[in-house]
Amino acid sequence: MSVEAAALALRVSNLNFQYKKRLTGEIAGIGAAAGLADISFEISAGETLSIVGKSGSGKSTLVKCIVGLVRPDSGDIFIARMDYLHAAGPARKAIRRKVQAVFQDSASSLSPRMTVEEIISEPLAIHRVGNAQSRRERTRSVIDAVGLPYSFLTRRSAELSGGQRQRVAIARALSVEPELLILDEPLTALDLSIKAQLSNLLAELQEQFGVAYLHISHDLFGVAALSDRVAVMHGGRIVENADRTALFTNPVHLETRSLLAEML
Amino acid sequence: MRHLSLLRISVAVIASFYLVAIAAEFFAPYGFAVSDREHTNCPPTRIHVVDESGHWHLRPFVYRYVELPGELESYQEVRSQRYPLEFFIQGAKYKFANILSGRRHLFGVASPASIFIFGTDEYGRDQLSRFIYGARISLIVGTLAAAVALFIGLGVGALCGTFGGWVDVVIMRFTELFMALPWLYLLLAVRAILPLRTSASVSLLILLSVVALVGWAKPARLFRGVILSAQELDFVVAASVIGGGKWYVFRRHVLPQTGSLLLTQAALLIPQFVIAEVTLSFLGLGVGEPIPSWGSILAPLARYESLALHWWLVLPVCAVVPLFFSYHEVTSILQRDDIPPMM
Amino acid sequence: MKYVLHRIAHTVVLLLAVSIFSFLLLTLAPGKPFDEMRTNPQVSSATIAAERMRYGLDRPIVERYFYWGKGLLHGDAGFSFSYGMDVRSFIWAPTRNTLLLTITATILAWLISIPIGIWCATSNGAIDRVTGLATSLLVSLPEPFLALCLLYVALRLKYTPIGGMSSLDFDAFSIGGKVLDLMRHLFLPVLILVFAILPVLVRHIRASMLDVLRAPYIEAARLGGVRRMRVIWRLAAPAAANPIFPFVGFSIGYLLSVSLIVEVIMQWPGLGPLFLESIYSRDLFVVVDVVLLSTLFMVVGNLIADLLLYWNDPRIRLS
Repeated sequence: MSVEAAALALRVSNLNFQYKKRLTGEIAGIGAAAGLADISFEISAGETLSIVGKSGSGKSTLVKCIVGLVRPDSGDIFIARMDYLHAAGPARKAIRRKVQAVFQDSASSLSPRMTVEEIISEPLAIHRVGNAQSRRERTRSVIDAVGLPYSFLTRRSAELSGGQRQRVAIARALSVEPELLILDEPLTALDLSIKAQLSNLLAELQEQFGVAYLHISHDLFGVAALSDRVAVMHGGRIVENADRTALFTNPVHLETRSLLAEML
Repeated sequence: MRHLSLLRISVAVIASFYLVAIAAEFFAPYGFAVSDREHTNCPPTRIHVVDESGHWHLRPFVYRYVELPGELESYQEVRSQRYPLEFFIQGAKYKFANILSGRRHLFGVASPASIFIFGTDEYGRDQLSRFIYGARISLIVGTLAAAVALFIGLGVGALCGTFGGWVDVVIMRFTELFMALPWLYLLLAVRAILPLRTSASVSLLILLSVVALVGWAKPARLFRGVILSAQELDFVVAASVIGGGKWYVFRRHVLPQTGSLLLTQAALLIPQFVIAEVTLSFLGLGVGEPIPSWGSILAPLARYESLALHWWLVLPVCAVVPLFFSYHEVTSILQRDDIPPMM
Repeated sequence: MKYVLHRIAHTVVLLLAVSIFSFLLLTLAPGKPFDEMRTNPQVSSATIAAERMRYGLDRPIVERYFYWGKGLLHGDAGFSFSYGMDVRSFIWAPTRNTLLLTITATILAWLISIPIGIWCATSNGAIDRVTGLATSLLVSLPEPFLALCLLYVALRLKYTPIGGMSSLDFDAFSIGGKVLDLMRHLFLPVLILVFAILPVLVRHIRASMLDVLRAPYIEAARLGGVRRMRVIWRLAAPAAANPIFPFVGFSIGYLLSVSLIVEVIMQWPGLGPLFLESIYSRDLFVVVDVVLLSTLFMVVGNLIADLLLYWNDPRIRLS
């Protein structure tokens, strides 16, 4: 179900969500994770939108909605022009393929029992892409793209460094050729030098594969290097959404200014 | 390292018990229902290496036992003839699993002598043979019941973990109910409502189901806990983000996390369930005569007069100790070191 | 306070659930409830008809449950077919005897295992290892076997009476004599029960003590000059007690089950032999009543244990 002529990797409209107590359905009180209030934004194909905000601003909740871990109370999510919230069964799964994620903690987001090859090809297996042969080839091509040698395919995640693990996570995410890649604080846990390497890698991969990024971060470095646009979240709302240069040179909202002050 | 060798020894002991139980026909010198009317309540046969004239013999031997004239159930050895202990002897015929028939037994002596290593009971039945056949029932029922209980527990735990909500609450209340009753009373009560006198195979089935039914609750709670925490693991969440369905994520990522618990629970539950079977049989509610179980072998001992007169009847008690001791060692080693399942 | 009320409410609900379960046991049993009675020539058909009416066997099942439950609360525990009389008239003696046995054994088991557990944790390696071996061996003996072994030993030694609860000439004794006789008969069954649970308790007490003794504040106390005994008993033991409280509940439940076997073997006139007998004779009201009673003891025992834990550690009040 296409929506508009412009190729939008992601379109979120009027998303609302509040955390409720299990079983009773009561709205969770103060201290619970932040909800979402009327969130709307778009990401064009091949573009990077960075969402920044303090902890408790609702960033993680937003990510959970988009990856399908949490169901919003109201609103729409269009992934690759397809209506995610109203899809069911196999259609839903097909949409899931279009958006993949890389998380902050690579050590725990990669299964310790699987080899690198198994990890990277897992999305291919889940979405039944091609046959064993083509999957192997795809895995090899994508691990090459993230700059790791083929010999790594037989290793396990415990044998890799933080930066190498993140590369594997990125490879895994890219294996099924998603249109949107969610990067949830991907560089935060890494050393400074590795941060730079990986940031460059992400930029290269975006050029190479034309994939859009939704970058969640409070890390100045990542935001400045990667983003086309930046949105600021506060209290479950998007308080500012602007071009990167514009945001840095002329921040409007109080929250934006406060964040920039912190970062700098 | 010491742990590993202790573990190996324990596993070896356990395995040998099972081996003997499975191949009972071969290991037992006599059948379990064979009565020797001339040797009722006979004490354990003495095995000699030195004969009357003081000669040493390489091969141990026994003498034939005859009843003392005039005295009931008092025996003496007839020293005139030696009966050497023979291995792989051709003895009474048997049919293993109704398919294989054979005549070879691990050891025995030529007739008319007999070798009663554990003595005989009031019907003249060799206690060692009954012990070995009894092992078959007790071990198999206990192990199968444990397997069933673990299977049910895992399944129920998975249901609670993956569905949550009211399913979880209701099932947890159920397990609380089962755990609120003293286990033996629950076991006997459930046994009580089922028919008492049935054929051997039905009794076996009843025995199995009752023991498993009583024991599923605790494993279920434990599995639920493991599954719930496994579901929180990042890479498990990642799998569903990638697009894996509930069943895929469970099968591929959550289930392997239960392996460790499965192993420790197995080591813990099997001996408990064997004891449950033994207790039921001891109280006369197990498999009926003449099929022996460890419990039914010891049942006559409840009349302690027989215990006073025939001390050898207590020998099976000592003989099971190595098995339970080994299981106990395995359990404590598993719980201590958390050896990964790839052993 | 809220916690106490919450626990009590939980216990009541649990007992209710158990009563439903027991009632289901009663109704699910094959064979009609009064079949046994019919075969008993001493019971007239008029009595049978009256009993049928009394239990409303012709009414729907839910109604019967409430009827039965109401009767239970008023003390009507059903009718025994093999004894030919109301259960309540003969159930109290066995109940009392079982409670006597189990409670004595529980208290004694804890009194003995606490010092032993602490001693193991604070002694040198040799004592600890030997005790460890002994407890492992004990735990490797299934309960019926343990009972038989001790029985055998007792037979050989001839110190204590074997079986039963009282000597033949019990009534002729003075009060002191009666008490003594009771204690002599109580000795062996209690011993068996204590031996049955001792290994488990000692192990856990020892483990808990070892954990606590490793804590920095214990070492600080020792280095600061506090005497060893004081450190052990005043500092370490109370801290180690916390994780042990749940075992009080467990020990009651466990000993209740083991006491069944012990009572049967030692011919102690408690609920055990009565239960067994009623199973053989399909005397279902007795079966259900015994299950209810034993569960009641276990649940109440757990409640007391929980309240003890609560009293000892205020942090529990959080849940």
